[in-house]
Amino acid sequence: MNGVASVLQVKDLRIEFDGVHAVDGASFEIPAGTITGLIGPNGAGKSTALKLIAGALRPTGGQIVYMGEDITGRSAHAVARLGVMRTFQLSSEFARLTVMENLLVAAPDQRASTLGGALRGKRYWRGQQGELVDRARLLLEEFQMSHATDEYAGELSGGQKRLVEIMRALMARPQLLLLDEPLAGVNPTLRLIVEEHLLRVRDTGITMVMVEHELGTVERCCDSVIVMAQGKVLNSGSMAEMRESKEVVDAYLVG
Amino acid sequence: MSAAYQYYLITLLVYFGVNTIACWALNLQYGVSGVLNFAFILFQATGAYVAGVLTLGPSSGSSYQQYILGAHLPFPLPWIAAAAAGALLAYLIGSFALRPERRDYQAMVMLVVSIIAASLVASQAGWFNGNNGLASVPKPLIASQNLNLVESGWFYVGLTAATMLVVYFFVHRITGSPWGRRLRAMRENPEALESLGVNIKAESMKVYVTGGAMAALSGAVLIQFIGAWAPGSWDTAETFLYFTAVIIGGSGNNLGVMVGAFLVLGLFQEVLRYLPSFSYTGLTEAIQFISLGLLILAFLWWRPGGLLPERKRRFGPGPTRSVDPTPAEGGR
Repeated sequence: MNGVASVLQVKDLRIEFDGVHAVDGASFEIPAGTITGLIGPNGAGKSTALKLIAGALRPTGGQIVYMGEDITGRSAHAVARLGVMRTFQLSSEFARLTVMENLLVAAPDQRASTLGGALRGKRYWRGQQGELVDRARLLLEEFQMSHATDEYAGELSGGQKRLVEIMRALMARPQLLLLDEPLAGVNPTLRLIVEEHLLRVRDTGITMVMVEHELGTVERCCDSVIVMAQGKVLNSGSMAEMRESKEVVDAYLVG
Repeated sequence: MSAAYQYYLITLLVYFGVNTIACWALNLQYGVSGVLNFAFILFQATGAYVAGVLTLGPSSGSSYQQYILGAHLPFPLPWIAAAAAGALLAYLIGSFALRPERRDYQAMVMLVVSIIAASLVASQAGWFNGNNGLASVPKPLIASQNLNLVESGWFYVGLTAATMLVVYFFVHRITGSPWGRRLRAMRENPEALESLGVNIKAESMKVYVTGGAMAALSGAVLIQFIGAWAPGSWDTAETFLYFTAVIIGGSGNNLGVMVGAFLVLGLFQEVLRYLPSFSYTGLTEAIQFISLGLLILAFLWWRPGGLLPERKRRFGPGPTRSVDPTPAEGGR
């Protein structure tokens, strides 16, 4: 599309739950190195579309192509290993793990993350873990969460839990990050900080798709938006264009 | 100390060792990884039967006792075979029962499997001598040493302690490692862990098999001490006794569940033994279960982490600037 290489192509994606077409023939492309907003009224199928891409749900029709590879119907962990990470609409922190541990769990290719490795003892994995701890500390600092390093993630506020989730996904070194309302419950000041951070993440080459209801955030962060309603893509383009589009305005007002 | 008291002490110590090994196994599965294994006792039974028949020698087919797989294997082969059988059975059951995303289903299937297995083994007299079970299983390495009952008892305590140490080394390394952290994350939120690229079904299978082998080993240690094993030894209720010990001791904490094994499966049972029996038979046993039930409720309500809760792994606040980060690691 427009000569920009796309990381993700979604073609005629469909899923049906007991006769309800949650996603009903949606097609779109996500250009590399951009943040794309996925907006639309409640029940438009935005979160479902993210789950389908991430492999958490199996589509009943259509095709998902990631970096030229057809990943339709693959399991969630297989898709994640290709570098597609998803954050959840509802907080999904590892509650009785500390914030630091939440981040460490996400690091790929960790030493001693198998039975055999574990039995080799601390000497085998301590050095590498030290490097991962450093990486995690940098992330914590950027998200102003250093003070919570050793707190149980389950004891944080709703907004802080969202941040843990974003950091955790970044720790996993994603290529494509699917963010499902990542800033819900984050206070306005921190929201701006995280938005800036997401833009910096984008500038390192990570592509993002973000479901977001707060249009201010969409305006500030997203390079382009896709508007969904009733399982279909209504329109796409820049946020300014969408504000002009009559069908988009109608769908939002009705929805 | 009189021989009788010594033997009483020996019995308590061996039971403590067996129960602790079993609790570590259950803790690895349930306390650390969140795999709700309601078939737990089946694995201990498997280990006991396998170690039993591999020690007893070929079945003579007499009316005294009948069993399959009989052989005279030298120690420690029967124990190793028992652990392997536990692992194999875990793999078989796990392949259809493990559904990390549906823990309610998983727990029910395992409970049902456990009950079916118990009725099958009791009714099939040709497998492990049916309802009468195996008897006269000798202690290992005794014949060669010419020891009396008490001496051989103390020898067996040493053997049990050595086995405990090996198993502790195992579980300690696992729970302290990055793999242990991953397992705890699976307990907390399997779906989120999967979204980070971890195959949770495969991880569940690994802990199920590892724990199954350990549980079977505990059964092997037990049968060679008491010499007998029958369907009455592994009633489904036993599974819940082990759960009680793990929860009260401190789910997720290896030392905690050892304390739980001592208090719930050792001290508590012994104290009840000295209560005067009154009214009709079975009442004392019923009271025992009722009080354990109340105890577990009290703990879940007031102290859900148990007596020794899982420890927090601290990393410290770390350097504020990213200079020379030598992380102070928590605990272990």
